[in-house]
Amino acid sequence: MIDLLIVEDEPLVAKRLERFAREALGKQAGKSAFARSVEEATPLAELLPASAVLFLDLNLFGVDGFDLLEIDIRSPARTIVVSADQSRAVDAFSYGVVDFVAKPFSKERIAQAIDRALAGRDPLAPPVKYLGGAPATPGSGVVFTPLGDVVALHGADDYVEIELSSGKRLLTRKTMIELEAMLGQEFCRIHRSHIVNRSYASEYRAQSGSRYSLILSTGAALPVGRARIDDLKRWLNI
Amino acid sequence: MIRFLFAIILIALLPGAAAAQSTRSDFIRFEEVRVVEGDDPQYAAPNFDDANWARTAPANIDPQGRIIWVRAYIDGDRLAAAAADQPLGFFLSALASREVFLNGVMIGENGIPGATPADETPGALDAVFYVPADLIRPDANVFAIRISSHHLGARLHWPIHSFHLAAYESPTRRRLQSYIPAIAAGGAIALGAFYFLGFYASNRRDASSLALGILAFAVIAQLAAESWRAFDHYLYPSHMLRLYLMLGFAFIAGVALSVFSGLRFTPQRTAQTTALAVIVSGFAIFLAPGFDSKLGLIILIFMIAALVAALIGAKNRKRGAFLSAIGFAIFLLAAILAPYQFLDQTYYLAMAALIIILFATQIRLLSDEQRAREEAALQTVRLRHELLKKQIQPHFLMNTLTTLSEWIESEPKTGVAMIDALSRELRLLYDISDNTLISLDDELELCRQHLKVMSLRADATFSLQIDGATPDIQCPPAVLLTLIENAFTHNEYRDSAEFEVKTTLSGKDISILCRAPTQADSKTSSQNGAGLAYIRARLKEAFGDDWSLESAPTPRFWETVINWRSP
Repeated sequence: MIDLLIVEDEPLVAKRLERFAREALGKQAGKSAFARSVEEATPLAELLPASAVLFLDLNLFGVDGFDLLEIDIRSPARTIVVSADQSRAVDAFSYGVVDFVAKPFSKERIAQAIDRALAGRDPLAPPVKYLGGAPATPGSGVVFTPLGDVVALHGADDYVEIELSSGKRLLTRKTMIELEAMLGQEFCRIHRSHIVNRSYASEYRAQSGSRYSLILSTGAALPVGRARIDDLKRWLNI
Repeated sequence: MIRFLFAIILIALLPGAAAAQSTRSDFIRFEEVRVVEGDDPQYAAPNFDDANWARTAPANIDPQGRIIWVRAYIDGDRLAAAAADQPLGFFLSALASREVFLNGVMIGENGIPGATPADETPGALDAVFYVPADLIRPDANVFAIRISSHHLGARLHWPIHSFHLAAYESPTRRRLQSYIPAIAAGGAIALGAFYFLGFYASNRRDASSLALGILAFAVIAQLAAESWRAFDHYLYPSHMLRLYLMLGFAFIAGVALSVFSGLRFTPQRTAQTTALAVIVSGFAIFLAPGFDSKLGLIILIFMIAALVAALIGAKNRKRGAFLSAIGFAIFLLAAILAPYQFLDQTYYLAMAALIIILFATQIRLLSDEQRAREEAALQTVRLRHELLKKQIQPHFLMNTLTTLSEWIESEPKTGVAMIDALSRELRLLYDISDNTLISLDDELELCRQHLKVMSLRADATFSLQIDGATPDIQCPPAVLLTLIENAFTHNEYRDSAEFEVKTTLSGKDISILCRAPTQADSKTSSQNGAGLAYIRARLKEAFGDDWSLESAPTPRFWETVINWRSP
C-alpha cells in the first residue's frame, strides 16, 4: 500500500491532489494525510514509510522556497513538488526531488508523477547538485551541501550518513537505493552500505582471501562488496 | 560655486565704491545764491542791488509754479583761473526753463521762462552753458538766471539737479559713464529673464521662475527708464514720466523679489509677507519726502521681505536659502550704509550680482526638481509594474486557477462565480493601476472581489466591514488591497475572517483604519515588508510628505492607520 502526505495550504488544491493521486494509485492507495504548514507536516513526514509519496507545495502561508524541502529531507518518502512557480523546477530537481508538477495540474500529470515516484528517479530529470541532511546535533535545521563536498554515503539502520570533506556528517532519511538513483556518474555504490565520490577515491587494494577495499583520500578503507567488484573496476577504469 | 558668486558680488560693488571716492575737485560750486520772485530785465545787470533778496543754497532754488531770478556771485580770479586752460561751462540741470546771464550778458537759454504756463516754453532737463572768457571781470562776477517751471505736472522737493561750473562737456557725459557697467550687466540679466520667462511659458508653470523672470525684466526696465536721461536730452516735463516709470518698475521688481523669495523659501507665507511689504511700501511712497527716498524705501522694504523669507528658509534648510540670504543681506548693508551713492551708482550692479546669484540657485533647484520629477515618474511606472505583477505572479494566479479547476469539476456554478470575481478583480486592477489616486469606493470594490476570490480559494468566508463615509474620498490604488494581501500572507485563515475598514473625515484630513484579524500563532511581520514599502511609495507619490502610516498589532488584530490630507 502506498500512503500519501499532502502538504498544501490551499484545502481545495489539497483535496484535488489527493483525488488525482488516489485515482492513479487505484488499489495500491493507502492512507492519506494532510498538512497545511511546516509545523504540521514535519512530524507526519518523519513517520512515513519509504514507500510513501509526499506532495509538497513550495509556498505555505508566506513561507516560501527551499526551506520547505526540510520536510522532504526528514522523510524517507519520495517527494513530488507541486508549485505555482514553474521557474523553480530546475532548482527543485537539483535538490533531488523525484518530480516537479506545475500548478494548475491535470489528472494525467499527477498520474505520471506517481509513476515516476514509484519507479524511482527519472533518469532524464536534471542532475542533482545538492544533498540535504540534518547535522548529527539535534535541533538544527537541514543543510544542503554541494555534491563536490560529499566524500561518501554510509548506510545506517533507518537513515544514511553523508560524510563531508570537512569531516562533518549529515543524516538523511532517504534510502541508499533512492540516493544511488539521484547521484550521477561521479558516485559509485561499492557496498550495500557505501557510496563513494570518485574525487575522494585514492587506492583500490586487494586484501587477503579475495577481499577488496577502497582507500579514500581521508585515509579510511571501505570494504567492496563482492558482487560490485566488476562495476567498481569499470568505474575506476582499471 | 559659492566663492565664485561672492567674488561677483564684490566686483559688482567695487565700481560704486570707487565712484563714491572720486572727488569733484574741478567743480566750482556756489555756497549761496540770492533769489527773488518776479521778472525784471534789470535783475541781470551786474550792478543791480540784490541786498534784500532771499539767500539760500542752490539746491533749494524752487521755480515751480512761478518765475524767479537767481543771482550767484563768484570771485574774478577764481573764475579766470578755472577758464584759463579749458573752456568753462555753467552746468544747470533743472526741471525748469531758464536763461543764464553773466555780468548782464545772456550766455545761453534753455526753453523760454515765463510768468505763466502759457508764457513758458519748456527747456531740457540737463543743460550746460558756455562761459565766454571775455565776459569774465577781474573783480566780482555775477551769474543771473531767469528761471520758471510751470509744466512739471507735480511738485518735487529738488527741482534743481546741478548748479556748478566745470570744464565744458556734454551735461550727461558723466551720468552716461556711470550707467555703462550697469547696462553691460543688463545684458546678462536680460538673458536670464528670457530664460526663466521662456521656461515658465514652455512646459512648466513654475511660479518662482515667473517671479524671477519678472524681477529681471523690471530691473532692466528700471535701468532703461533711468538711463533714458543720459541718452536723450528730454524736455523737463517728461521727467515725471521717467520718475513714475522708475518707481513703478522698482515696485514691480520689489514685489517679484518678495514673491520669488517667498515661493522658494516659505511657500505658505508668500502671500502674507508680500502683501505686508506692498502695504508698507505703499505708505512709504505716500509719506516719504523726495523721489529718491521713495525709491530707496521701496527697494529696502521688499529686500527686507525677501531676506526674512530666505532666513526662514535657511533655518528650515531649504536649498539655496542661505546663499540667497547672504546676497540680500549684502545688498541691504550697502544700501543702508551709503543710501544715495548706492541708489545713484551701485544699485543696478548690486541688483545684477544678486540676480545672477538667484539665477544660479534657481537653476540648481530646478535641476533638482527635474531629477525628483523624473524619479517620481520612474517610480510611478515601477509601482504600476509591481501592482500588475503581483496579480499575475504564479503563487496567486496559478493557485487560483488550480482551485478554479477543482470548482469547475466539483461545483460548476461556484466555478463560474469564481471566474466572475477573478475577472472583476483583474479588470479593476488594470483600470486603476495607471492612476495616482482612485476613488475609495473602487478600492473597496477591489478588496471585496479579492476577498471573494480568496474565500472561494480557501472554501471559507472572508468579508469586509466598512464603517464611515466613503464617497468622494480619493486614495492611492491597491493600498487597502495590499494590507489585506499582507494579512493573508502572515495568517493562516482557515474558516472565516472579517476585515474592517473605518474612515474618519475631518475637513481635508482623512484617516483610514484597516483592521485585519490575527491568530495567536500568526507570524509577526515587520514594518518594512514589501507590502508596506509599496503602500509608502504610493502615498509618497500621491501626497508628497503630507501623510503618515502606522502599522502595529493589537491582541486580536493587526491595525494599520493611514492619514493624509487630500490635495
